[in-house]
Amino acid sequence: MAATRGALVQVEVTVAARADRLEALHAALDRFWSRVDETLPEPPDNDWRLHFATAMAEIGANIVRHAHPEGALPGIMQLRLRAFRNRIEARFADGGVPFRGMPEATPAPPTVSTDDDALVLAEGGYGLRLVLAAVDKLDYERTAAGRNHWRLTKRF
Amino acid sequence: MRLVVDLGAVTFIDSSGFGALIGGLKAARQAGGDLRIARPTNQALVVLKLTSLDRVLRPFASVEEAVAGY
Repeated sequence: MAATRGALVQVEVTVAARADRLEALHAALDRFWSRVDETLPEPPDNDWRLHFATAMAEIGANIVRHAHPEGALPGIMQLRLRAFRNRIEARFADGGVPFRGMPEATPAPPTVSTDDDALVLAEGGYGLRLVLAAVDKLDYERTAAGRNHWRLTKRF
Repeated sequence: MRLVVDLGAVTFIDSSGFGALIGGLKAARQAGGDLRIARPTNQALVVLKLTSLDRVLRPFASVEEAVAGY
């Protein structure tokens, strides 16, 4: 029953790990949704897709920003989108510098009641928190071959 | 310095985009002013909600409404 275990839809794209190429990830996701609409009897709705797309883009931007910092060798990232009967997965692979473990996501900002409260807000670190809220599962692995693998899973 | 950032034409924004706006909010408040956002798309609202940044960057439906509250 290999066919039922495999992905129903698969789209892959390889792009330079640069901020000006992140658009290509969205283009690949659009192609993927078209195939999903043709293939799955009950494709996810727009709100579901928006959450998935937002999480995917966040990981893509993280790979550009943290695995390929300015001054590092230019690199590429591969994105593989797969639809299964009960979930959608996005897997990123890149050869950039390793992610330094899974950091604690930045805590929720406090309710700002006075002008001074806003002055202590963090200006970054919200990405992981967003991803963990938008999808069901986030995995990171640094492979023995020295590659970063990120996998996002969102169930229907 | 009272700012309104119109997000109506922003088709996609990630958490670092809102991080930059938090930087703007802090600078504005340090100067005794404020920064508000108007017309976020559904995608921007997803980011605001999932990061809980909607607690500090309350979205206004229009630039006029944001300005009127100042």
